[in-house]
Amino acid sequence: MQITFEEVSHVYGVGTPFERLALQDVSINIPSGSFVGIIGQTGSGKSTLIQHVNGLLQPTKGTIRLGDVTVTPTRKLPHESRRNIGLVFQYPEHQLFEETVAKDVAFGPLNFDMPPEMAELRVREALEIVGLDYQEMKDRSPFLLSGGQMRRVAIAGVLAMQPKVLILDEPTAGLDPAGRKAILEAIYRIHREQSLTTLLVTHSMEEAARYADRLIVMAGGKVMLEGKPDEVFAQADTLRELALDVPETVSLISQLNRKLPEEQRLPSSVYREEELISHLLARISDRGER
Amino acid sequence: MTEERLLALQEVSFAYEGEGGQKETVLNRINLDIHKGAFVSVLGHNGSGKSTLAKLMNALLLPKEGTVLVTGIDTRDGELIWEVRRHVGMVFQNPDNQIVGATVEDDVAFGLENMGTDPAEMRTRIRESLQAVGMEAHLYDQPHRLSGGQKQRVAIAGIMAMRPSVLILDEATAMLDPMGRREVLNLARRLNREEGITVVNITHFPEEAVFSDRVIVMRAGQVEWDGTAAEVFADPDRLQALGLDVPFAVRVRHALAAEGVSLPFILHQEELVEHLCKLLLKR
Repeated sequence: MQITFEEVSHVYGVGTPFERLALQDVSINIPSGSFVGIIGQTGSGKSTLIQHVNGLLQPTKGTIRLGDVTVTPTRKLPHESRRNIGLVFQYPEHQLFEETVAKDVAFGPLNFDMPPEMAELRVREALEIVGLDYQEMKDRSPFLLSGGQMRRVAIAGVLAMQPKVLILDEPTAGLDPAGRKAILEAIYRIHREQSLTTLLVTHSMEEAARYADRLIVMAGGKVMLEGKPDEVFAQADTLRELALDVPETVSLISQLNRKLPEEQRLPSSVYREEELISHLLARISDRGER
Repeated sequence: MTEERLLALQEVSFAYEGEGGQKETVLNRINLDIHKGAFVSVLGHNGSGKSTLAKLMNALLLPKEGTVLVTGIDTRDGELIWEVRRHVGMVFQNPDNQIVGATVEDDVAFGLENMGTDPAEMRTRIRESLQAVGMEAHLYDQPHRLSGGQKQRVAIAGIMAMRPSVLILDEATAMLDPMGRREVLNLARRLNREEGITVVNITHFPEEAVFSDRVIVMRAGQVEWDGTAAEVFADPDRLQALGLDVPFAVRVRHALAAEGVSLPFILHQEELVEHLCKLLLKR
């Protein structure tokens, strides 16, 4: 589903002493099927931005288009469109509430009046996608699972709605490396298999570099940079000014390029680790060092 | 000298009660000594027993078997439990769950008030400990208005005010953004270097372990590995098999070496840059 923001601003607490401009004239275009990494410091407007995409917040000014639906300050996102847009909040495991895993994941589909047999099928599929065994997990209490398992159950609850747009707010925060990888790989797989449009809010440039095909960098409620990962990572100075990192791959290449003669420099468009390694190998074997 | 041994775990086991009432062993006969002034990182995947280990070190949990000694005090000695906790301060993962005061000053004062510290002494210690964490300008601020990294620094100040021997960071950087993470880690390194505080950093981030004197890898309730960062990261395959990551420079060097490129062991990115340049420029 294509997502466009046209000059969208959002002000919290209009007319109160706490009035705060959280989004300022944001214009973005996210083509259908993109995997977008949204990056920025805490307080930069990332969460406000994504809450506009699923209709939790309405713009104070501007227009948002989600497929053929238009949202404006006076026109809300219709209820039936909401099920197309799945939002996984930060620490989604805090929102688990049912007594069994199966009931928790089924809550959304049942709430949208899906017949129980169909909902069960969806639950089964959703748990499989996040790598949990349905038979083994369905009757267990979600509160007695490990942190990583709880997070997967919560994500399954959103996937069971079969959204067309999947928004994840730091889905890997606080997990160990194996848990982070498992969740991101599952998300990436379903993104491709179901041709979703996916928005991933992350602090990790490594995660953004690995999975996203577009990046949006936010600061102070504005979009500072937008584009393909290599275009964004090429703006290392701007990123540093915003107290953001470049991926370690990009920083390694720029350090190497500073020391290498011009004709030997590595292409600065490389940012994936595997790609960097094969470039280095090719260069080194050219020099007969292997 | 034996007093150099700040923390000692001897044959320590711990078990939680599981879902159906059965015992789930989390730590199994651990033996560990931590010396004064060390900076120790503890790695391990979720459920490996890292956090239980930390909680045993300041008597938040008591061993089911074996003995935990903090500056020679047995943590099971109920009379001395507050002495143990004064010596071993702990910062947890979620910055929002450990702030108790309405202002930064109140928050740092909390532990001191509990100990019945003299008010004049209390003011001095609050000022000193906030200076130590670089938060003196926020004395009268409301903690909920601070960033995650700042909140964790205030939590550390509350511990520093108690003049502890050991600071335990139990995944204290896990919920922070990269800037907050750097703030907290740099602070812990400085307190270790300049104030001689012994630091135990429990973390999922291998880059944080690169700077420690010692890295302990936990697996299924046991110490799988205990050595210098160079020793532990020398075998990335073994760590990755445990679901753990290794620092970027180690990963790149390992991938190149696996393809036959001759490179010595590398821990830091600067070394990697230097060696790669040599290889790329050599004729």
